[in-house]
Amino acid sequence: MEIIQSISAFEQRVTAAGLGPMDAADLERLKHYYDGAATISTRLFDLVRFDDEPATTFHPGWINPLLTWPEVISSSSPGK
Amino acid sequence: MTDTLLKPFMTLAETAELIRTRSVSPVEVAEFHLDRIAKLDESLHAFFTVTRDKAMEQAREAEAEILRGRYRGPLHGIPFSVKDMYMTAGVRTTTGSYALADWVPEFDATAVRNVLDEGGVLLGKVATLECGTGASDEGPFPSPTNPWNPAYSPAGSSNGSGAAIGAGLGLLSLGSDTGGSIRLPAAFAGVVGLRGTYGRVSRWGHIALSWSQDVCGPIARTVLDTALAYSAMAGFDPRDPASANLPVPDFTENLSAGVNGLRIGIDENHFFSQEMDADVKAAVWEAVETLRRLGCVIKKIDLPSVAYAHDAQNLIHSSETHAFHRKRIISEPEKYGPTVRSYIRNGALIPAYDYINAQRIRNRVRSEICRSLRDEVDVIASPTAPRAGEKLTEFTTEKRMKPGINLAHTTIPFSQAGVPAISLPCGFSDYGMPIGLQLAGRAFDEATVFRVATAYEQASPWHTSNPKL
Repeated sequence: MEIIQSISAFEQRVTAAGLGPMDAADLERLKHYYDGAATISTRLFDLVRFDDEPATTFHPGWINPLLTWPEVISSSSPGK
Repeated sequence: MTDTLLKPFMTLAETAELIRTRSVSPVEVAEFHLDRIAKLDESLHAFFTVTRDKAMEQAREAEAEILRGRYRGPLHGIPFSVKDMYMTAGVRTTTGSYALADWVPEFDATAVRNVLDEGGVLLGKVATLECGTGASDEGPFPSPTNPWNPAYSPAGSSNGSGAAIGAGLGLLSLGSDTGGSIRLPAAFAGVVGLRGTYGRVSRWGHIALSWSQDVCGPIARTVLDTALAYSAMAGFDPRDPASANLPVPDFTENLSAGVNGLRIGIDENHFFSQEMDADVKAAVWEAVETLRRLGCVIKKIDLPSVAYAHDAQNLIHSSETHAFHRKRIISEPEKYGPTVRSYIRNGALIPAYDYINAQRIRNRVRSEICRSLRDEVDVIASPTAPRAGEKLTEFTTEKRMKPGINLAHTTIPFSQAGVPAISLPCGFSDYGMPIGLQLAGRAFDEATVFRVATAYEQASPWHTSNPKL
């Protein structure tokens, strides 16, 4: 996520994302959130390491934590 | 005679015993709480919708059943409220937004249905931040206030649940928690709130906010009340793809089994940092000392990735919220308040690689917490929030979204880990607002969390304090 300085460039980005026209107050408020997320993105990108999860083993455990608790699943039985 | 038996701030368990022994009837209990709502909620604003007629009908049915000898259990005849993010059959479900202001679903969310099936009496729908994440004053309803001080916020997003239970309006409220939305309102209102293990309670019929983190859970006056409610809410539901197909234990069974030898983890670096209020840290340290005196072993732990949990949360939450709301935010943006509109729109500007990298960082947070809970300790203790209260004027989305020591600094990591975490009262701040102690445990081991919370609650006076209303 790149930092976008110019408001007109930001407006183009917003339009490209399908968010439609909006007034200046909305655009400014949205840019405030965007700037925050872009700063976070830069910070987090520096943290991600290639060896966090080798590509062949990365799986969507983060979508459903149950998938990463095999000791729990192995003892599963029907719920109430 | 009823007037002498039913008192404000009575607990769910105490009231259930009166109902079971037929000392009071569900009708009397419902009337008592509806009258309190009529008297107090005009200024508290905890309720969006009061379902008086429905409540009285359900109470009469409960009374008739009990008189026929069919007592269903401790929730039979118990008045409860539901955060307006849960669908309720025949009762409008607004999510605190003009976008859904007139929507009346045809069915109940599973968690609501589970409580109704146990004989619960629905008092109404309580407040939520708009769509579970926006402002509290940009939708069709006024902001709820904190029963301990009307200048303060009951936090969010289950602000109506916290305010209602804190004020003794009903005996149980169903809230939901993505990054702290059950635990923070419980802490600010001086009551108990549980975020259970991800997958333990069905989210079917609960309006989504962030699919990979949302959970439904109870807010009540005591740990026992919370355990009673959680036992009813929990259970496998094939309609929720994340629902765990596991047996649900009786969470009240070993509450008083003691805590001798249990290991309590403390991460001083990340959960007791300098930026947190001194009175909050002092109260939580005193609670930890109480647990030590009760036989717990206090161990220092280190969870360095917790420092990035809030950052990861921001990108994950925004992206998932946008995915859910995209159609409507594009076709009817004017129906959303300005704050939540901008927040939801921003999710469209976060690239997929940022969302995935945020989930990778989240995985690191989760791994550290789960590893510590597997190898080092049984429960992790921390403050629920870095401060004891926040004035209504300061409780803004902008402030909540800032990096650093955010209000949800200590709650988000356990949301990301998917493990159970409870908040219960552990003192008061210099300015008279309640302080919350957070206890988090292993996945699907809510029983140990409840056990430690009960031991602390029984050894401390805080749960007996009530606001002057």
